[in-house]
Amino acid sequence: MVFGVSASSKGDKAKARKWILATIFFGTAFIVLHLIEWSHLIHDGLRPFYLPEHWVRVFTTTDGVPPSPLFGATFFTITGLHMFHVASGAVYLAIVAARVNKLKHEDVEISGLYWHFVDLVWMFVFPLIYIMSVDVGHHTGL
Amino acid sequence: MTAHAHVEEHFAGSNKLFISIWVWLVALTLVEIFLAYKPMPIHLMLIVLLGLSIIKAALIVAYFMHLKFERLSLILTIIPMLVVCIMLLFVFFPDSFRSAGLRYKFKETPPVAPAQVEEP
Repeated sequence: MVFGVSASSKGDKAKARKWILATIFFGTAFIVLHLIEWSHLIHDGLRPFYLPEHWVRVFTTTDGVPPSPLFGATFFTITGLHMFHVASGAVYLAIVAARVNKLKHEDVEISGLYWHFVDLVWMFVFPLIYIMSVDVGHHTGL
Repeated sequence: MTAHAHVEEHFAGSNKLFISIWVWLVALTLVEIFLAYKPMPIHLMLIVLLGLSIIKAALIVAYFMHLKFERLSLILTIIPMLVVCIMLLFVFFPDSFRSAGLRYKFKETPPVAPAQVEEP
């Protein structure tokens, strides 16, 4: 995206469009991979208010404290909203790419700011949801 | 086109700079993933990960959203505002401690004294 904005600032509309299309491609790839992950988790039995049975077994501590059943709700809300932002961003960028010759540089720049806002969010979603859930309590296997 | 660029160039930063920033972001992400597999107390882990994330966010805001190349007054308007907003969200922390006690417990779970609950 940043290359697209950079090209646009130099007035190179064709190059800007090319980079924006590349951004849309990777954004869409992100959504597709994310949906594959979702379908695996749903297949495993993860629901907004229920954990898969074997998760409860594995993640119950030795003191008998079960894992919070709200993980599903948190996970689907946060990643779902993020995916929605990425999807709207892809549509937004597609419109910008289609009309890039008619648009001013500022318009391209603002779409870049939006896109970077979305990946800024991912900078926090990724460590908090994915890295923090890597074997946090040193449980074995899953 | 190029003559234009010399006169009115708002968008500072070369492609080379952006690539090096991107490499830094990838490197910091790899550090995060590496840390994920290191057993450590959860509080320490949170602080380290959030610290790394804030660095990454700062890199994105500064270079990709080109805040670094804006005038100082804009930076001084945006950054303190962000900090204050986040501080205001902390208003809800007492509520989260309260609702921790309201958490739904499974019926078959044997009751445990809070002191026995291990910090994972």
